[in-house]
Amino acid sequence: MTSHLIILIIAIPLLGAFLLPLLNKFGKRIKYFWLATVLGLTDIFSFFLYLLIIEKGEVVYTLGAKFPLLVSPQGFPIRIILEADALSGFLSFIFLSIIFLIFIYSLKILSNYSFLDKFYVLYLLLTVGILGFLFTGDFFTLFVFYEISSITTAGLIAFFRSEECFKSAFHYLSLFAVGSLFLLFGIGILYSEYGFLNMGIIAKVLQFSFLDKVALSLIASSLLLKAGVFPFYFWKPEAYKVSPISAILLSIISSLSAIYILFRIFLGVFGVNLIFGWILILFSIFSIFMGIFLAIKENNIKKILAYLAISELGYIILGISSGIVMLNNDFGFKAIQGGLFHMVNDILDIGLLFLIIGVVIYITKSKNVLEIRGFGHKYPWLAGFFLLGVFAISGMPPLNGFASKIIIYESVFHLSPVLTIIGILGSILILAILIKIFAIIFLGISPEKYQPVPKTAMAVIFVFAILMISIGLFPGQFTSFFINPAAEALVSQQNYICK
Amino acid sequence: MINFIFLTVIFLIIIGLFGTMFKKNLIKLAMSINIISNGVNLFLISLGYRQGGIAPIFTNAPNLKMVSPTPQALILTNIVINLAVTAFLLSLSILIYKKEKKL
Repeated sequence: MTSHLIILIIAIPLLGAFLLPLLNKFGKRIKYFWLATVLGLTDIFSFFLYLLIIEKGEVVYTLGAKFPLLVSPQGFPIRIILEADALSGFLSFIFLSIIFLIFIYSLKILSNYSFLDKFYVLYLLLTVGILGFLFTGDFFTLFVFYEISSITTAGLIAFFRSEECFKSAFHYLSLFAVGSLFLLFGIGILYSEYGFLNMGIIAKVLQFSFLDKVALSLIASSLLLKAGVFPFYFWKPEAYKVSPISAILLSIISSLSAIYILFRIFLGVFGVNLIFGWILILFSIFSIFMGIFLAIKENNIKKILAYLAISELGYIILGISSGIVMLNNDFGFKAIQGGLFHMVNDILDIGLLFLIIGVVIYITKSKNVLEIRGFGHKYPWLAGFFLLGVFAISGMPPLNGFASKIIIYESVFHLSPVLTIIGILGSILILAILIKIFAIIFLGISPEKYQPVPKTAMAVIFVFAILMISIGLFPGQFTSFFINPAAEALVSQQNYICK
Repeated sequence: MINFIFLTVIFLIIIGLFGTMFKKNLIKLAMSINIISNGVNLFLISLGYRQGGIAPIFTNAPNLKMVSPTPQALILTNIVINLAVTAFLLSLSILIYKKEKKL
């Protein structure tokens, strides 16, 4: 049982997705029960997987045969391989917990729309795509999961079935079709040189020739496109503007998993390369500032939050890539820790803001949220949680955003003080933008009367807030249980590759 | 010989990229994506080609001179995925056409 945990984590949502249209005939309750079972079971399995990894080290799963006959000269089985170490186990547990919470949130918020069964099929398939990114051990599986997550995200963008949605979904899908073909082209170049697709084998035989650099840049650019950071950030606001809130959060999670696999390939397969690390640092600075400056002039709330999500991803890449550049001293490890820690905090912080905006849209049914005034007068709890999210995302103590950003600032300072200044400046600007939005939507007195907040949505927002405060108050415990093993796993790639 | 194939690959990919960047018509966009996909497929299939090789079935190969089966499996997957993407793009363009009456 424990040896099959990885494949079960991927297979259960896949099976659940394809059984869901059949179960739809038996009514709403059975369908939601099935969804909750599938997501909950996967979450529990991923926690057990994490405990197993902490206890015994990396888990490698060879699909199709326990003792495969065909083995490469380097001792790797020539099959599809799934691998999980402390980093991917930790990320899968966190992501699956948040996906489960988002499902509970969308129970009531989306209940008025038709095509819900198809929505949840795509939801589960996108979960499969994210998990495949986390566990893949060879390049071709990466390509397949890239396509799965692209197609399902395009379907989720078109959920509201307006003309704008269809156009946005078309642009998204055509962009990612091209991106995935670039990924495949890069993989093909690697295959043409070495004749293998397994990441472990390629890491061993890689010579870092010119063609390898071309392949690396093709693969990295397609993954940066998926992550939606600086050179390829333009799809994000257009896509987030029209998609439902649950789909936005899943899309953020898939961006984070793309960042994960980018650094996995960068560090694990291609080794430490300073030029590429500095290019990533440059991209991260640009995405921090690009996101903020484009958010200032925007007047659609979902677009503003999408731009801020871009700049938050910039902090993660800044942390990890500057950690890679100065991996030879202690601060490098610290910076990688900060970046990985910020991955969790990013999805919690920006997720909370998106969830509250989703509730506001659900209650007021307004097209433009920024025309609402005095919302906090009727809903003080929502206003309080929004303010909590604002403080957390801009790195105010004692919340979780501070805990991770301070690690990034302190360690990046030893690479260049300019980077720290840019980071702090970015946080201040984020605070300024969000405080303005808070004042517009929540302050003042509202003449209108609205319905109460859905209980399930409120409960999810409450859980998010509790998690944020507790991570902010006890960052040491969280770091020592989750982040340290994960950062160790990312840095000591030899264990991951050579199993 | 092999250079000619790679030139064709690059030619196809550049035509496709040109189409995706400069064409506004949705059907033409879908076609350009297909052209890029065909270029990448041609690249992958040419990797496994051997002069005078036969289909990779062990019982049929007396002197074990076979083309490599792995790229064929890869492009089979890519063709199927590309079919799904094209179908999705075309259905979206039908929906857009219904609402906007132009492509």
